[in-house]
Amino acid sequence: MNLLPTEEQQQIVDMVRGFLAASAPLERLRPDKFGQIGNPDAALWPKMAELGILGLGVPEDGGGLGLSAVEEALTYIEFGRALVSVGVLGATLGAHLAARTMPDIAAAIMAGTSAVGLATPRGAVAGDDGIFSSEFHLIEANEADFILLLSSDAIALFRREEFSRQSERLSMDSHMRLMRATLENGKPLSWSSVKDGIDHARANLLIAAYATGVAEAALAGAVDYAKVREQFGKPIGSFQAIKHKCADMAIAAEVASCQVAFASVTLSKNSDESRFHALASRIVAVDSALKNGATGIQVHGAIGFTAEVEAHLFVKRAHLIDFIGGDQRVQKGQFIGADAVI
Amino acid sequence: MPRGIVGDELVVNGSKIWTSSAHLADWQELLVRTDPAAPKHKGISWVICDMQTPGIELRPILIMTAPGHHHFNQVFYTDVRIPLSNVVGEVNDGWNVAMSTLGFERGTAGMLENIRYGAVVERLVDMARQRLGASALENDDIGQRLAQLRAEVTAVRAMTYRIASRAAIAPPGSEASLARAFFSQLQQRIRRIALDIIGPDSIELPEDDPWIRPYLRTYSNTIAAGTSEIQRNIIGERVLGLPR
Repeated sequence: MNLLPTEEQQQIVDMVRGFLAASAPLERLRPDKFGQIGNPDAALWPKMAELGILGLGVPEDGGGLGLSAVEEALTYIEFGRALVSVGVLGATLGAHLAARTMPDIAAAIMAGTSAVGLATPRGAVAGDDGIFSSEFHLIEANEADFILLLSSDAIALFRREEFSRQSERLSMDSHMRLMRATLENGKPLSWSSVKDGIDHARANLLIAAYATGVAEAALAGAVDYAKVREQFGKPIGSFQAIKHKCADMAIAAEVASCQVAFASVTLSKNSDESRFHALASRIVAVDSALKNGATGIQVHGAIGFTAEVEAHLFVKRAHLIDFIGGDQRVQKGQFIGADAVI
Repeated sequence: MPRGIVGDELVVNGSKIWTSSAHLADWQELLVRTDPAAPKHKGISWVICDMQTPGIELRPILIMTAPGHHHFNQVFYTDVRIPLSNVVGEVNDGWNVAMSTLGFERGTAGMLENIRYGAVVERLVDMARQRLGASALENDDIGQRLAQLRAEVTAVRAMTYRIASRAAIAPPGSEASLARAFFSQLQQRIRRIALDIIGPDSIELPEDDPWIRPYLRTYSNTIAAGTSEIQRNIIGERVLGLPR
């Protein structure tokens, strides 16, 4: 099994990385560049649609590019590195769900003309037979036509109107729009259960890939800083107290990246082990993102506590993605519980 | 005392420490300096030595796993005469020979251990299910930690595949330290949780004990073949490019 990108896959990575470096550099999230509250990336969707990024893994007969979970995971690592709005998850997963039965909706999502927000449960979700009730957080839903609900049991696409009592909240991760909302016997346009197969595995894999990107970017920021910041006449990266922290961050990023690569290959082959490996990748990668986000701030010292560098953004985004579709406690419970995934 | 090549023999004087299983071995591989004037890695020869040769004395080094557990030895050599024909490769080219044998040992030993530890985690999950109940495990701290360990040991397998993928393109570099540093600490965490699952009885050390000795043994994992701290120096300097 090859766990390095092929030449074609590397070209896709380079294309996405180049696009994001030009259109979504991390500096866009500095307080003097952007108001710090809200989604800075809504304008990106149509441009990403033009490049085919939003329907990258959707089958060609569903209107997508027909690439595999490997390419999808590689692009999501880049999204994580650039802290692209997590609304992109709604678009990708929503397009996959819609493409099977609702080609017009899928086309609108992949064209970037219909945005898809995310719904993630604030408590237990009542619902079987595809009728859902619970309290939710809606993420990047303000301009969205559709909402993708992700819980630890199901993945479902709704029209936004199905959610009542929508009320705005400030978020810890201030570069996004957050709402509370309610679903009472909500009927999705399309849905699948965690036990049905690949949709849930794809959701976990893409969250893991995004988290890997966050972990890698936090590492890169810390290492760059440790090379230039001097104390006692030397770069702080020459001191083992800092060097070993950076090494731990590198280890965490490598663990995440390897398991994401492995899980993406199993999913691309429709293997029975896809769910297991995707969930394993989510558990290790979100852990890496949380750890590297925190350590990155410490390596920066006082400047890391300010909004003048990006360090704080990674840990906040890591917390946000941790809670999408159930946090580590929920995921680990599922990974080890009575009806564990294997 | 004479040292080095005398006629068609190698005369060895000195000592060597941390020799695993020297007390059980019929043969040992020896790296000996045969050209004292040559710099560091040069002037060394790789020779195979019969443990019954006169002049070899052992001092056992007992280890921490259990009373009387004899694993390492310090080996003393007094005028030990080894036929020159026992030299593997060329005289004074021992460093190259050692690098090939070490490379082989590092590569394959890691993979085997990885598979073994995957099975250890599954045994721990079974044991925890029996003791705590399958459904209780979901919300229990031990269940949470086991889930993390299961995910991590799965990821180590993926890291091994990544190393193999890299090795197909170029000789192994410092990136292998990432997997090694992670796995050695993971082994400690995996063995440690056994005590929490077993509970109070883990202060006992039965003859057929499958958990306590292996747990104590893992204290060597972050020391042997380059401590965790050395691994982190390698990662910091050679992988991340941080200054020395």
